[in-house]
Amino acid sequence: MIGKMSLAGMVSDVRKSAARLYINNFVDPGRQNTMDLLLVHHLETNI
Amino acid sequence: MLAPLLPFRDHLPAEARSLLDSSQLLTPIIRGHASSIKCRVGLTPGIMTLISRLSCRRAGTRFNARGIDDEGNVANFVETETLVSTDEWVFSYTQIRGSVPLFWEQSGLQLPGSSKITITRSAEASQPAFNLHFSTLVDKYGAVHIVNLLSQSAKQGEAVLGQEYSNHLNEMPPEEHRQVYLTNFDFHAVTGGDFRLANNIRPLLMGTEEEFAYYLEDSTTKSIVLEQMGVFRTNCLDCLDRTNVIQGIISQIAIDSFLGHKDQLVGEDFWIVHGGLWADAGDALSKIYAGTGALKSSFTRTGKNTRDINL
Repeated sequence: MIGKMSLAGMVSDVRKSAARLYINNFVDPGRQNTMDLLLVHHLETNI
Repeated sequence: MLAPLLPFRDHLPAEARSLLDSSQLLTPIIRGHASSIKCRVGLTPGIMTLISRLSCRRAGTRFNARGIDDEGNVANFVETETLVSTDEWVFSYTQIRGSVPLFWEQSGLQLPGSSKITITRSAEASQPAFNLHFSTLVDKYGAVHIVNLLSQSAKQGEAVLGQEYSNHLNEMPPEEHRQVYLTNFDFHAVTGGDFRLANNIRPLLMGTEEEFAYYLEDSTTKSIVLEQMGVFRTNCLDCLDRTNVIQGIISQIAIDSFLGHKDQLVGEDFWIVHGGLWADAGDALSKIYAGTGALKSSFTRTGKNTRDINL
């Protein structure tokens, strides 16, 4: 089996890439805000 | 907010400090991943552990936290330690990963295959932060060997970053430059979809690996036998997928050289545990930074081949 392309690995990578496309573009800006607030970066930069 | 509180705590008399600690007003939190699995080193039972810790400086998510800041902190900066221990000894090997230490960003809607990278500061203006980043690393870890996995073909937007990376390195003050090595390894071009070819990186790193050595402790006497003298700093664009494959290989080289020095043989099951730990850590770190598990993790886990999705 070694050396053959594993179909499961391939499908799983495609699925993850699609999920990243959505998460990174639409969910992450909000997450980033929360992190910045928690780590007090807002006081220095954004307000 | 917290910064003045920590020196205050450190300067308290021991008694007051333990009172403050037991009040749990200051609770240390670590973001990252750690796991520990029983393994067998030859015939002796042992434990293999992987600990990955994210830096809280320049923390953030994939497209929102990139590159370096003025204090020399980089995004997605992770220190990973591989530990193998038995009743007789403890082996440890530390590696780091982090975003390319330049001022750069990818803004707007990001589609796969279109990495629109903008370098946001001129070389002269970014050099001080770059130097600061490496002098901090050299102070903490000793020599630094950069493993840059970015694509070098001009068609890829990321080639610009690799080029600027080595330009900045050449502009570093000579006394620090001597402590920093650079290996460029175009992961996508070399592997071309067959990730087993990533092992071609081994001969490029062997020399430094020997020179850096590893940490070894004698458990019976609690004495340090050997210390690690330097560190590999691996990066790709996101420091997730490609980086994880290579860091797994570097960790394997280090353990291999230790076992070689000890004349110790290990079974296939030992490396299965090792691959599993690295794949889990890679998935966890990728979830934190990009929201999903790592790509290529089926390769890291089993050493078997899987198809490359160019991201």
